[in-house]
Amino acid sequence: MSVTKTGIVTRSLTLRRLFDLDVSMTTEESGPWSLFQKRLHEETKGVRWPAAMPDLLAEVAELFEIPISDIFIASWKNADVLKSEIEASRKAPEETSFLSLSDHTITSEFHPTIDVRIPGKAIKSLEFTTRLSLTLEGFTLRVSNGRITHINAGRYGGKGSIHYGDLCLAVKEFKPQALPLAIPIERRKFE
Amino acid sequence: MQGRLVFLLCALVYASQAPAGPPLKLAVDRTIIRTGERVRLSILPKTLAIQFSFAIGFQDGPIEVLPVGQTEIEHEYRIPGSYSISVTSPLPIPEISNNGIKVQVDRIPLTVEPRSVKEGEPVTFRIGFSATKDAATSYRFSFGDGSSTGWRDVPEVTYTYAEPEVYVATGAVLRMGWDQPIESSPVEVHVEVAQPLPKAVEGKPETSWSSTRWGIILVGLTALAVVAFAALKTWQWNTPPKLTYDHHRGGVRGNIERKAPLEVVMEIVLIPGIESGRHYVGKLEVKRVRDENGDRD
Repeated sequence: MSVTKTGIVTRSLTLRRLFDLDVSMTTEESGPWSLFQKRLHEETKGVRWPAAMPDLLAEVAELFEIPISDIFIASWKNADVLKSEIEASRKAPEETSFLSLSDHTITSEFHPTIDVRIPGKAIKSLEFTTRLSLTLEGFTLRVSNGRITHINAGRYGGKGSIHYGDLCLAVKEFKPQALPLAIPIERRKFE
Repeated sequence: MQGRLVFLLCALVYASQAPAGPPLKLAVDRTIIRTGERVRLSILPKTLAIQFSFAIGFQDGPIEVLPVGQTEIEHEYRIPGSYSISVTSPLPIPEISNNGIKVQVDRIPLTVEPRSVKEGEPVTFRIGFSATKDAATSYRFSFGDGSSTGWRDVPEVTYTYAEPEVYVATGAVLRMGWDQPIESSPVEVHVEVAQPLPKAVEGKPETSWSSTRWGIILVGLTALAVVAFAALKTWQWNTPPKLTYDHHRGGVRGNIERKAPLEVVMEIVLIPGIESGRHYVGKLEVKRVRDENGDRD
């Protein structure tokens, strides 16, 4: 369970926690996050940044408050066999299906972005590149009336990285581990 | 003195022996001149005059001798007055019909314009002296109120009296070669009290003061704006800007690796039953089971 800076409690495992961003940002003084800040100073010479950019790093950490289930869902959307099974569940809306998935591997690359603004003006767009390669084992999905309502169980492992341009900010290997709890899936995510 | 008596005696003796013929005549270019100016004396007719030598008395100093062959002479009067120019000679000369010609030497005039002014109004003084080019000329003004100018090249000056009174101003001229300056004639200047302006006119100074006030306000506001702008720039420079951050997490994408494709290996369906009190009676049915190869059991 993680607590965001806004105080919202979420049970979902997020990339922020997966990459231990809060720890690496505060402990690695001469690490990649320091290089990131220097790079940012160079790229925005006209902007008076706070000396240590604590706000910005917090914003970056917040940016990666992305549930890992979103990565799963985004990948499963592209699996035709799963889509057809889920669609078939619409025929008997009163029934609840539990789909056991074969072990499979998902890959993901996407680009979360932070637009830095001063009042009335955008001064910098910080685009990060996130790459993940995860092997999923023993996953069971709870499906009802044409949608996934829960991710019930499973183990995941693999590796991932976060980049800013050619600067590698975080790279991590994830040992196989079980999802902490059943994860409810919001309606909109698979529709 | 004895020399002059001897000269006059000789002249009388010579006159008694004066040659007969047409008389000589004296001519001056001006009969009225100003102090410091020169008068040109000619003895006519020239053809006759060049045959004699003359002694000329201008009455303001020693007799000047005009040698044979020279019939003209200039003389500069530095003291105002009325003078008679007399021509004599130790030798017999023809009779001079107008000997003792009169020349009036006036004081150098000082003109003032206007002669009567209000206090605070300017008056212009001018020294009426025709300077010749053969010597540098300087001018000085005394305004009668204890103030005066130094020596200057221009014969004109403008002055303003601060107090109402009748002042007597004078000028002076000094030329190279003169041992002392020549005073001009004095001139009176009447300076009167400045009368208060009528009410209708009193608005003018008020308007002027008002304009000044607005000018001061404008300058003050401008200065304030400049200071505020500088302070703002300094503040902006020293104070990090208030930054805001917009997050864009959209576009989370994922794919299933082809090497390890996703399959649904089992589907268990919970068929709803009948609720009976605290118990729920339903049916759990395994609808499909596939093995790792996708074959259905």
